Amino acid sequence: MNCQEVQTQLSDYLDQSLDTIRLKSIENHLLSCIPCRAEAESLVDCIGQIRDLPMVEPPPGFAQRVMAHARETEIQVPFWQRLFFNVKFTLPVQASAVVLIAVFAVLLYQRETGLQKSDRGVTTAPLPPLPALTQDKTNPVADAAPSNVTKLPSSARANNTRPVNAPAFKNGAQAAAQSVAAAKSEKVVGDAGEAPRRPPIQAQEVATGLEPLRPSAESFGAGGVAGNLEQPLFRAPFAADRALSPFSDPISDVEFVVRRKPPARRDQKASAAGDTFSHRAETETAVSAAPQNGSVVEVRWFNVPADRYEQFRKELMAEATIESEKGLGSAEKEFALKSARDLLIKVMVLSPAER
Amino acid sequence: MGSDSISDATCVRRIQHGDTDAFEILVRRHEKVIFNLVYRMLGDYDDAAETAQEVFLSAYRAIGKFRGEANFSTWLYRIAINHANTRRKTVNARQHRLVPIDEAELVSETQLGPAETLEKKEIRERVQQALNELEPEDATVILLRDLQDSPYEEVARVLNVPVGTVKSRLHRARQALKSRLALHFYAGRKAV
Repeated sequence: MNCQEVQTQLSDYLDQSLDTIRLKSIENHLLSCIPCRAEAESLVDCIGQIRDLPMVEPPPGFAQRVMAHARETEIQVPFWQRLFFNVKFTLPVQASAVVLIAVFAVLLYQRETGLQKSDRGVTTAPLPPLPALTQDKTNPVADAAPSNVTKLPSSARANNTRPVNAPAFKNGAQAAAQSVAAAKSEKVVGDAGEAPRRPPIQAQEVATGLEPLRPSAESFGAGGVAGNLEQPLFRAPFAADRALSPFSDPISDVEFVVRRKPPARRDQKASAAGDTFSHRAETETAVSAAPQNGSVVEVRWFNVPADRYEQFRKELMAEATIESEKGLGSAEKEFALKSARDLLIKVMVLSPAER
Repeated sequence: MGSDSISDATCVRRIQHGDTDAFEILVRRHEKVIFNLVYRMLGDYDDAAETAQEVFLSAYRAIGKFRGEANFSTWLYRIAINHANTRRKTVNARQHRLVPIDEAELVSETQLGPAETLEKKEIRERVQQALNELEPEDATVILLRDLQDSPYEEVARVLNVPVGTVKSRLHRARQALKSRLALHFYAGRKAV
């Protein structure tokens, strides 16, 4: 180690901030080098002069003066700091931010999921057309749904291709739960599905063409399919602006053409239906382009869970005679069951008078 | 609970919550160190008293922004150095003054005899004059390390520079001070 190196590190040497090897090396050099030793001694003296400077007392009353001024001074403390004065933060800010973001994301996700469930409830909740459901007095969906239909203004109940999904709004969650809990049926229905597959539409019951909607669920539910199909049909004419558009007619998964069975209690409701014959005639002419022979007095659309299709079909058979049926193939039926989606069923009701 | 047992951090939180009296604990705890640092940087007792008061009041005003990332003393040192350097520039503009008062009346160390006191006083005046003539950066690092006896790491935190920078800056500052002292002592002897 030469003199220049030693003198460069003299300050560190005096502070003992060098490693042992260097300290020893400099020490050996200082023993043998007089100029460097003199330099070191002068530096030691210099440091000593500073360290020998006495600690001076501040002026008397210094703290009091400072405090007197401080009490007249306002400190600017951020609001959050006052708010969380007693909270000792142990997490770094970044970690806290991550936790907050995660909580927000979960809340957002739950909210979105809730909305989706609500929407799903709208599509699946109202199952009043299913006779089994309408006859089940314990089923809140079936009970609640029709009453909402009656509250619709006549113009809103006009023929249109839009879903009549008003009943679902109040009972979406219940209906969703019900559709999940429904028993599964594995029976194959009809021949291979000719109708193209389509995503479920937001409709439980859809009125198309010029067919009227039932004005009350009780006539539909308690009276079975036949009662449903006949009595309430002609209460309200459809508004012109609600007329069916050929472009908006949905494609059904299953299509039935049924003819009403004249039920025994039809007489009981004859008087109620009597004043609607003119509407019936209007409807029949309007749907003269129906694919079946005879007059179609009503076209009904149903959204039925795939696993409840057989139940629906049986109960339809109990209420009406199935003239024709275009259903799902076995593979499509199986797929529908697996995907747990709803089937869109179109029921065209023929007048019993033409039988 | 006595004021000595309350940590700086606790005092700071209390002040931030509006407890002004907690600041008095901090003032009394740090006044001497801060005052001496400022005094040695300025070399004038009255200037030091005024500047030290500004230091504490500045700290009080800004304490709401103090987040405890550094020690309160480190933060206070920084404020003191900034204020002292600003004041020093003003003083430099109107020439350095030697220590205008008799330090012997203010020091709290041992009683000395008249001859020793006079000699000591002369030496201190020359050391202080040498300090005043140093660059503020050099004077600061010497005072922090050699007067306050702060470790390298603490000096590095106060100056916000790496430890290596502190070492090299300290070496340079000591060399400068040594030269100044040699000049003053030589001139002093020559005058005598």
